[in-house]
Amino acid sequence: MDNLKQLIENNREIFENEELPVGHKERFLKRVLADKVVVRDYLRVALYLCAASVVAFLILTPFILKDSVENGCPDGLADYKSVLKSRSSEVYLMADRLDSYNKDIVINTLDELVNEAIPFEDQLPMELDKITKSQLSQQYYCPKINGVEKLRGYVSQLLN
Amino acid sequence: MKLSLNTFIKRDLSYQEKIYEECHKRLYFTAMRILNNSFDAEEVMHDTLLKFFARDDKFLNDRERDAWLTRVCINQAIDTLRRRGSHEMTVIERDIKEQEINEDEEYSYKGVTAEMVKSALNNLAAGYRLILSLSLFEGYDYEEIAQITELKEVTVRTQFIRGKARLREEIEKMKCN
Repeated sequence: MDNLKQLIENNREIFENEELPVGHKERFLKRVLADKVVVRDYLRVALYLCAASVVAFLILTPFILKDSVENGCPDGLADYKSVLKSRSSEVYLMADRLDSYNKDIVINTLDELVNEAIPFEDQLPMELDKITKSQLSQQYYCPKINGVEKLRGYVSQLLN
Repeated sequence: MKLSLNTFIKRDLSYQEKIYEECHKRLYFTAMRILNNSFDAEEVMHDTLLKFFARDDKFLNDRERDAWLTRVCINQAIDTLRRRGSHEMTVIERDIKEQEINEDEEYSYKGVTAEMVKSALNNLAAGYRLILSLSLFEGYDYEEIAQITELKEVTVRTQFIRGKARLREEIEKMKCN
C-alpha cells in the first residue's frame, strides 16, 4: 500500500475530528418537515380535487345524458322512425326561413335521409321478436337521426 | 386507534433521525474533503439524505446503503464544484495526454503528521483534492474515479500523480516553516 494511504488509514480519526456546523441537525429536520408539509399539502389538494370532480360528475351527468337523448339517438327500445320524423319536421320548418338556393339543398338532403321506398319495418321478417326488431331499427335509423342533427346544425349556422 | 397523517409523519421522522445519526458525519466529511467549505458540505450532506429518504427502493444491507449514499454525496459535491465554476476545476477538465512518473514511492513520510497532510490537502486546487480524496479516503480505483468524474482513466492517473506531487510540496513548505 502506498505510504500516504497508510498514513491516512492509521490516522483516520484526525481527518474527521472537526466539529460540524452548529445546528446542522435542526436545519436538516426543518428541511425534512418542509418537504413533508409540501407532500401533505399535495395530498390535501388532491383530496379536494377528487371530491370536487365527484361532485361535478354528479351535477353534470343528468345534463350530459339529457343532451345525448335530445341531440343524438335515443337508447333502448324506442320508436326510431317517429324520432326521425319529428326531428326532420323541425329542420323542414327551419329550412323555410332560408333563401331558396339553400332551402332546396337542405330539403333534398332531408328527403334522402327520411324518405323510404319501402318502410324498414316492412322489410323485417315477421318472426323477429320486439327487442331484435328495435335493435335493428336502432342500427338503421340512428345514422339517419344523427345526419338530421348535423343538418340542423348547418341550418342554424346559415340562419345566424 | 386513530391514525392520522401526522402520526405517520412523526414515526417517519424518528426513522429519519436514526439514519441521520448513523450516516451524517461520514457524508459530511466526504463532502468537506471535496468542497473545503463547511456550508456547502452541510448542504450536500442534507441533499444526499433527503434523496435517500425520497427513494422507494430498499437496500439489501447497510453496506449497500452506505455505498449508495457515498456515491450520491460525491456526485452532489462534484455538481456543487462545477456550479461554483471554480477556475481550479479547469485543471481537471483538461485532457492530459502525457504520462507522469509517480515519485511518491521514493518520498518518505517520516516526520509527517496527519495534521500536516490534512492542512496540505486543504491548500490544493479543487481538482487535485477531488481525485486524491476519492482515491485515498473513499478507496476508489482509477477506473471508478474516471466513471464518477467523467474523465479518462489516464487523466485521472496523471491528476493523481500531480496532486500528490503538489501535496508533497505543501508538506515540505510546512516542514521548512
